[in-house]
Amino acid sequence: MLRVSDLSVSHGHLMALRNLDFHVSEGELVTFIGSNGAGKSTLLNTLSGLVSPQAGSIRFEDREIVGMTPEQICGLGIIQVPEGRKLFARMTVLENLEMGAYLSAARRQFSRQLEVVFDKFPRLKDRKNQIAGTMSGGEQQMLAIARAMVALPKLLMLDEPSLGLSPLMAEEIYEVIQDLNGDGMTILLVSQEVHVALSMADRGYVLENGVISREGEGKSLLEDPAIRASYLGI
Amino acid sequence: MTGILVLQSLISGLMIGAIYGLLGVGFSLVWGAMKVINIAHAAFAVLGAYLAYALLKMFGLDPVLGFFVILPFLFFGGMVLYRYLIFPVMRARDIVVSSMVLTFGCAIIIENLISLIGSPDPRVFTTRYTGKALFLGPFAFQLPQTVGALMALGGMAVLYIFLKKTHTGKALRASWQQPEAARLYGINLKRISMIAFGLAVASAGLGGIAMGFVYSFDPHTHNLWLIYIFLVVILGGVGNVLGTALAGLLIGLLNGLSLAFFPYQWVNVITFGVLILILLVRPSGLFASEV
Repeated sequence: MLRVSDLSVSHGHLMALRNLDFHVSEGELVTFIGSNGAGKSTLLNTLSGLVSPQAGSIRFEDREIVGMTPEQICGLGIIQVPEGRKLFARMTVLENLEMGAYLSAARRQFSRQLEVVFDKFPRLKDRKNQIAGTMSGGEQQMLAIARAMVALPKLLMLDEPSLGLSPLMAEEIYEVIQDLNGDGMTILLVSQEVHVALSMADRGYVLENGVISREGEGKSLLEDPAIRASYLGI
Repeated sequence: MTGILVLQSLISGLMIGAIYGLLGVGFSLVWGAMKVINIAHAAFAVLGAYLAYALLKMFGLDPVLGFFVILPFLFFGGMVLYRYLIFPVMRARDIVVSSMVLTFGCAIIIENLISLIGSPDPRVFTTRYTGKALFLGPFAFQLPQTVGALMALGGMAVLYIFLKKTHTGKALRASWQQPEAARLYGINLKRISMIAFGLAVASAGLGGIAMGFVYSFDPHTHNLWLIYIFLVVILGGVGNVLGTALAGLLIGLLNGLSLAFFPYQWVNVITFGVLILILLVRPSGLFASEV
């Protein structure tokens, strides 16, 4: 579904990502793990078209998307839930969802998708007229995911979805993500929570200083002594 | 008797305040949302008044109807201005200062074009209802002023409903609150800013026409209007539509009140004095900044 080859991105003179090669197949849950500043958010923003790469190719469903605008990429169904949620904080829950379905294709299916989303997150339905910024962190993260779902994603990309949440809330969010994947959604998950991310992922990539240093099945990466030593403290 | 006189000048102050409010709203939005301080905002208001005046003189078209003729020109003019003048400087390190200098230049150009094509003489709208008044009980409402106030209230209501209820209006607010997320969900920031700027210029034109019903105007008048616009916006909260509208009414009220009790030449001194006091107590204005 998504095939990235030889992708390099620089911030000014600094190389943020170097020669990345990876792929995500339909229905998979793939995770990128790595420490702060490893380039994970830069990667997602490049896939979303907010950052343009210096070199390389990104093919989505056999179409080259390097050079496309964020608007076009969103229209193709590559949808990002950004780090820190980035909700429209002074707008209501419902308005946030309407903006998720801003483009006309998503807008046409909005009322149907809204039911799906409210079914999944009944709490959002109860609070649909509440101002988004006044909700708890967990509810805000749910809204961020719901906003992405009404955008009709084919590939859902999540950037640190558990950031700043209580452990209980984080667990709930990860359950939702697994649930979505179980329903057939293709997911690219970026996380610092190495253990959780690797245990739920089909495959994982380790990003270190902008380079993929390891890759493999989620379970086998969990067993990898180098990863256990540097990320899990075991 | 004096009680009625005071009430009368309060009402008339409120009417002018509504027009200040409308003039402030567009300025406030552009400032809050794009960090662009559009010094030419009041010049567009004067331009609107002049165009309406020209339509009135040449075709006998009432300025209220004239606005609907002028509206598309101001809207598209504003969009073009944003696209080719404002957008290229949006990447400047200090967009506030760059935009001020740029739009100051625009203001001078507009002022001089008006002087050149028209003439620098002061103008007033002379319509069928000039000099007529509406009597309600003990109160007399001058008709031109009432028309101007209604135009202003209508303009503010339309802008408010547009921002709150329409898909494009919501997208505007979304892109101001969280530009990056807005882009992720397919909102084209450049296009949406063009629309916002076009609307602001059009609302300035409407405000200018409304002002033309109350005061005479000449090509330099925008300097005075701009000071009032700044006041309204700083008091009302940058980017806050409702706050700006309320601040306009408040300043109008203050104007009317001081007019009722003090000689005319003291009105501005008192208005600005009270405003300075308010800002000393609440330096960030009466209402929060937001979009």
